[in-house]
Amino acid sequence: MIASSFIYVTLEGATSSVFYLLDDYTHITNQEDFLVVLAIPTEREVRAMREQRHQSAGYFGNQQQANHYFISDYYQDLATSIAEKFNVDLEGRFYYDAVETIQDQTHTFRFIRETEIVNQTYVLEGRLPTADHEIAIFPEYANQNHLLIGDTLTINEQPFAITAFIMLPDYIYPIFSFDSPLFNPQTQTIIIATDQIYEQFAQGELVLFSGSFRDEANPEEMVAAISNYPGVSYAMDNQMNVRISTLNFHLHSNHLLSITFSNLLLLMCVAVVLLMMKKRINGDRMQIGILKAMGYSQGSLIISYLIFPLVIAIIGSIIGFFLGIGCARFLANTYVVNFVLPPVQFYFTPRLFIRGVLYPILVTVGASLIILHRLLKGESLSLMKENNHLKLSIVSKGLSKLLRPFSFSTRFKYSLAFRNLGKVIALFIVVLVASIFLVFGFIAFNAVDDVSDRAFNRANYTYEIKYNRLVRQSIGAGETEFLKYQAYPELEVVSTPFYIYGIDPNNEVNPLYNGQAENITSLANEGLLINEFIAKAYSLEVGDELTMVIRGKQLTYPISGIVDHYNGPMTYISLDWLRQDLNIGTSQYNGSWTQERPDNTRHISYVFSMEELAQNVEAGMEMIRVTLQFMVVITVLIGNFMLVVLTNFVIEENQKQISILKVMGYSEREVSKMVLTIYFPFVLMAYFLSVLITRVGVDLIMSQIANRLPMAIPTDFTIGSTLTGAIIVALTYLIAIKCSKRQLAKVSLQEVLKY
Amino acid sequence: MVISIRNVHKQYMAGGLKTVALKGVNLDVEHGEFVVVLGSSGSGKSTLLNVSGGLDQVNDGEIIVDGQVITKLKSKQLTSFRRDQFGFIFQQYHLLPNMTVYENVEVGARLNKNQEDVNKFLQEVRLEKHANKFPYELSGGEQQRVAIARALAKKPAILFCDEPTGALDEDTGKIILNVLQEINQELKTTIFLITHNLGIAEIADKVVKMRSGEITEVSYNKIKKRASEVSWA
Repeated sequence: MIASSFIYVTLEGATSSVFYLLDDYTHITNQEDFLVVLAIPTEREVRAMREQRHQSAGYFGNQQQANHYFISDYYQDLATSIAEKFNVDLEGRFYYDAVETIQDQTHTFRFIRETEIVNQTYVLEGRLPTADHEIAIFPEYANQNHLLIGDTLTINEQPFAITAFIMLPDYIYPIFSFDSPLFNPQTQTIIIATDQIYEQFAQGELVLFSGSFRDEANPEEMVAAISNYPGVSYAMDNQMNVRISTLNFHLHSNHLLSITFSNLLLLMCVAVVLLMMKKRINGDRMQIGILKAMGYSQGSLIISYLIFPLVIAIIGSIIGFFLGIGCARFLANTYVVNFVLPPVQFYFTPRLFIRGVLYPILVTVGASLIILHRLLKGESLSLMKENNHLKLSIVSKGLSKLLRPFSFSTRFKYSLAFRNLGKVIALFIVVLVASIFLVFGFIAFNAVDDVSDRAFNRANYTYEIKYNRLVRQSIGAGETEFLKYQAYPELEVVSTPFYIYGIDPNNEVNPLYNGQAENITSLANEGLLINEFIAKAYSLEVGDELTMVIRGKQLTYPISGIVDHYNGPMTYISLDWLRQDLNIGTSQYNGSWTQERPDNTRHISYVFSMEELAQNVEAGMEMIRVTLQFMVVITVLIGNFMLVVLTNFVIEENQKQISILKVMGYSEREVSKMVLTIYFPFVLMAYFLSVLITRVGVDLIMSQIANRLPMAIPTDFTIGSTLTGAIIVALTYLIAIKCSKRQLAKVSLQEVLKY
Repeated sequence: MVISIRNVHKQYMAGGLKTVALKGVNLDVEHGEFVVVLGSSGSGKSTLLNVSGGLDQVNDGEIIVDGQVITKLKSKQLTSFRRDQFGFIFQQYHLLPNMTVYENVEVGARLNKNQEDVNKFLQEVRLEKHANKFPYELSGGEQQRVAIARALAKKPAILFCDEPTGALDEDTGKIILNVLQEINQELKTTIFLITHNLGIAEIADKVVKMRSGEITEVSYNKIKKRASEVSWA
């Protein structure tokens, strides 16, 4: 009961606090409702837009503007026309990334041009920069790099004084690139500077506009309409923007987790409480019969027996509630580290008390009432008859006939087990729930290692370099070039953008393997290689066709292979094929996988060290791994405790039978084998069923979330893991038996002499 | 002699008070003898049965069964001795409710080194037609007969009976006594039966009377009545 309330209150308390903060934060900063990415225009489109401007500017304006019409003007005009057409606010969310190597680590500084209406900057501390030598940065970056307001940060050989710590509502989970879906607060930060400084750095800015609705609108319809507007590459509502939606996803996941796990634990607890009550009542049957004969009503008897489950429920849920409140405060604050948010204050909602305390009490008492009503409804005479409650059910009688061909030992065990069907069901539930936790922990634990292993262990390069333009530099030994672009898939479901890599199909620098560990790099010559994440998220297979818009061109490729990676939505095709389709000259490329870090960072968007990336993934996964280890250990302990309680019930319920066996001359070992191992087959059945349930459940969850986040985790549960889990469950049961043997030894020979 | 009880003392604590159950009891039981121990509640007869049957320890004295000093045996050795030598029948039958009549007797038969046919023992108590029934489907007398068959299936040398007719009416009780008489006469099984029913003493070879933890009288029946002739108390 404590665990059930504790888990619910901890997770729900933390999530509701963050939800409350988020609501406030997004309102104050006018977080974007959607974003728009404009397509690279053709010359004709630019001319058309220029003409439009001529007409609106008038004769004298025309002359000036005719001579000075740039691509940025085109984008601005297009954005203005979209805003007018759809009655929305649209502001350019231009940014540029500067890369610096600081103490052998690659730091990325994203200079963002401030907006006035949408996605306003939130100042946590200090003041926004007003002079060209001033900047504002993320507070966690400052914290991890030991920087204070007033300190200096040098970027591109220019020193900047830090004047403020800021946050942006469209960078709550500020992944800088979908290639690397993990945010590293130590090496990545947003930079707010003056417009002059921004202009100085902005040589490769991306064309992104943030929008908000001016009036009530159907977001999906509006965004879809904007997406189809001429000149728009795509539009995405804020729930598809992973920088915003990731936190919502985490919060909703925690909410789901809190409800599911707390209910499962409550179910376990209620099952055991009901069993304990039934045991008590069976033991008190004579007394109950006498009390009824004396005139006590059933209601008054029910109330007296209700005290036990009520007390358990009240004490357990209150302890769990207060423990949960304490942990919720701690958990809420971890979001400050993993997401860029103002400090979280714990926010108490009545729902925490209702669901964390009242609900478990009501469920426990309600279930107890049903059972008590059933158990106490007998007439006083029948209650007073010794062993009247030992009549066999139809199930037991039927089973007895079925078991006749089997050995005495088998017949004895199963007839004893099924004599109390409730206990079998309770044990099944306990083991099933505990095993679900265990299997889930295994899947996630293996996945944590797999994500990292599959992504990095087979790479034969040390750095991934991405240029902000096409280059023609020569490639050294042990290196290979690639073309990389964002690709917008045309799928039935809404998706995050993909990335397409044009690669040398014969390269050995970054070989690609499928799930059977076969090298499929050369299949890039035959079609598109997608990765496991895309395959699972969108149910795509080899042989399917995938249409994507790449640099404004709609291209369709057959899928020729599935790469065993889970790190983001990556696709791969032959470099020559992609060059041809995008009209890019031979020997041109915009990225390379190399062994050495480049000396010159000119024209470079980013440099990823594989070692750093692997460390980032490991670091991010470490907390998950620790949480999972904790969960598995707690599960095994809870499961073991429950099994000990249940096996002790078996002993207490069958004391007379155990005693007569001992009197007759059966040894302790023989009695133990006959009585304590009766549930072993059910324990294993519950475990294997849990494997099935958990696998199906996890696959379902993964496919649901994978098209919302640019990452997924492998959900394999190998035969080895299945067997390991079975061994753990079996050992847990054996430990429970061992703990119960002492109880068995205490059953005295004189038990049979009691009337 | 099959059982020799020598100066046995037994006391126990009950509700904070020390109760002396047996005060220097001496008794010999011959092989094949039908012994009835008579006494009212608190006389010590049940305690005498418990210590003689190895179900409880004595505080002083010794009990020798078939040459073995059972009071010196350790728990496991005592269990093994009970398995091989003793059978027990109790007032409340103590059948396994989830097993059929056949299976209840089989519980005892499994302890028999020779593994004899269970049906043979059911025939001896005339319950072969009820083999597939469960205990709750039987009358009290029938249940007690199953308990007797179960005890017999072990082929014990000594059968300890604790008020075997205590929960039964006169007619049924006589049937049970008749079965025990037959077992004693045909199988030469030593019967050690405790009861408060004076009439039952009429079928015994030796009658032992107890009061306040002591044997007050030991007498012998020169002529034993048949079970059906017993005057029921």
